[in-house]
Amino acid sequence: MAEARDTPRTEKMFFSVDQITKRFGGLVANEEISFFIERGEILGIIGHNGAGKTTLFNIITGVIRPDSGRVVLEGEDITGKATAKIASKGVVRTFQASTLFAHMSALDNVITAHYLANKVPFWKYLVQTGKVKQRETLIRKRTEELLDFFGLSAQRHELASSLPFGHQRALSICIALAAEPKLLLLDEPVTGMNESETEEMMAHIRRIRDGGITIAIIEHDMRALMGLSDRVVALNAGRKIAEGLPDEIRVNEEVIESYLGREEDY
Amino acid sequence: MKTSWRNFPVWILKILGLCCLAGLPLVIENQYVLHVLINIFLVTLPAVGLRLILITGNMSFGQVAFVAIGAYTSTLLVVKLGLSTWVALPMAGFVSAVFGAAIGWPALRIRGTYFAILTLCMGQAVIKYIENLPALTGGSDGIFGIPRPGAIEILGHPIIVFTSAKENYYYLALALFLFSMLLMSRIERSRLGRIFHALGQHDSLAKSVGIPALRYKVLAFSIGCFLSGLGGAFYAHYFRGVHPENFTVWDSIYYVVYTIVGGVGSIWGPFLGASAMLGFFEVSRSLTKLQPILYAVVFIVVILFLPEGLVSIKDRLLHAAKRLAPIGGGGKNDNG
Repeated sequence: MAEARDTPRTEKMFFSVDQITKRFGGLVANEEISFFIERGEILGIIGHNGAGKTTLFNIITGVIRPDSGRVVLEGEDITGKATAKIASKGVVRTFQASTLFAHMSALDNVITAHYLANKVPFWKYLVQTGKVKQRETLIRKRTEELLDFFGLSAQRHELASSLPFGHQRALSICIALAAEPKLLLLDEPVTGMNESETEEMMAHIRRIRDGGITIAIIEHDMRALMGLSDRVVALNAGRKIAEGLPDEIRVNEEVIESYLGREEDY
Repeated sequence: MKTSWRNFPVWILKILGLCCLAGLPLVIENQYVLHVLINIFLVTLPAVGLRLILITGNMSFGQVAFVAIGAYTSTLLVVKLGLSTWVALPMAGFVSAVFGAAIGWPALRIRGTYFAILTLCMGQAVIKYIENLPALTGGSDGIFGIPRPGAIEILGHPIIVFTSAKENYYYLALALFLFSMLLMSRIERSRLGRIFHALGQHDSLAKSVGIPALRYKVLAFSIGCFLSGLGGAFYAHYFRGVHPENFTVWDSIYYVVYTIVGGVGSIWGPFLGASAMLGFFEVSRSLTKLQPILYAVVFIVVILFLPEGLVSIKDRLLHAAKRLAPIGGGGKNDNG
């Protein structure tokens, strides 16, 4: 692991952010943040509110442009590209809280999110050529499978906005998976969940990874994050203060001081 | 799953409705009533287009500009180039669509109220521009004396001839209206419709799964402008003339009123809204001076008590019936 950390810019690198800096006025949200993600791993990103975690996700997915630094996916610089473009290259994120197409059924949410799986000139949607129809049938089947995987089959015809919180969370991950990401960015997937819901979600996340999708997670729930992650990056006040195995992070003094130590205040 | 026997009554109703609309001129001899009906179809076209724009999360107060562009385009193609009305009509729609895309591409980058205000100004600017191009558009004199559309022939026999009688214009307006409904139902049932709805409900989520939001917003705007242009072209041929004063900001606002009163929840909303409001307008004609106030009152009442428009009455009735019905009635409907 230590060797990999020293050579984060090799061509074979799956994903890396390199010296990312972003300021909002006088506030430094991200300061020269660099880290890498290896194919097939789960990377945890910790840091308390205002540490710059969500800004980082926004930069990676092209929602905002960094002042400097690069985001590289499989050797290709994707810094500042349009969100939709980045999604089509395989980097898809979920949002904090329940971000859904509220007035659609759970089923329609996931079918709609399968845009990249049936991307054709718009008039082909209207004349419904054989190929388009065929793909829609396939998407429908895949959607049912996804909903089934997350235990949402029984609620598939319910409006997304009327689902209970836990199900909404699961649905929002279904939506992201519909875009068939190579790298899935999860923004606080278990925050606000009770213990059994958290357990269930963690199991799902592991299975998504086992299905071949690389994952980066931002999470407040330290226990869930430490249990889930292969490696952890710790942020504080916009800077990376530590990076390593969960066990290393747990005993890292700077992390304890800035994050874990503070936990007793809550 | 889609075309099951459960939809059978709906189809019967649709066919019956169509027969009624097609048969109306046979029963109604009063030319004035026909004129009102034609007018309803006429304003429904831009309103149907506006509904599509609303679905993608944008409000436009400038649709009259595209009605005017369609009206002038069709007029000029017929009067100056001598093209047939049947060629000019669809071309007018396309020209409006192109203008819509050209304006929408930069404008749809801003959103919400800002976009609405922009369209309001843009609408007025377009009309002023038309007025200030006298060499082409006749300026503030307008263009009059557009030849009537050529007869529709089958095997050399003219079967539909356009005269001063209104019947055939009624059928033309009905055909355009049905075309717009067909287009909308096609869109709603396809992935394209899902994309449009997704953009209106959460555009950053849509982007995050790879949907190029701006492109599809421009597309929806452009299709909306296409229908406005068609409506405008029909307007020009029906009144056999165009004049800048025929296109005012009030038209744009009324399209919004019809769409909101009818409801955006269904493709039939704009038609329902236009029928209700124009019907109300005719009924209350004797109260000339009070009419604008009554109009506003109706609009406010609908927004307060039926925020999802007239199309939501059906759901409300079903909902009420479900509550009143004895136990067991409710569970059955959930298995759809």
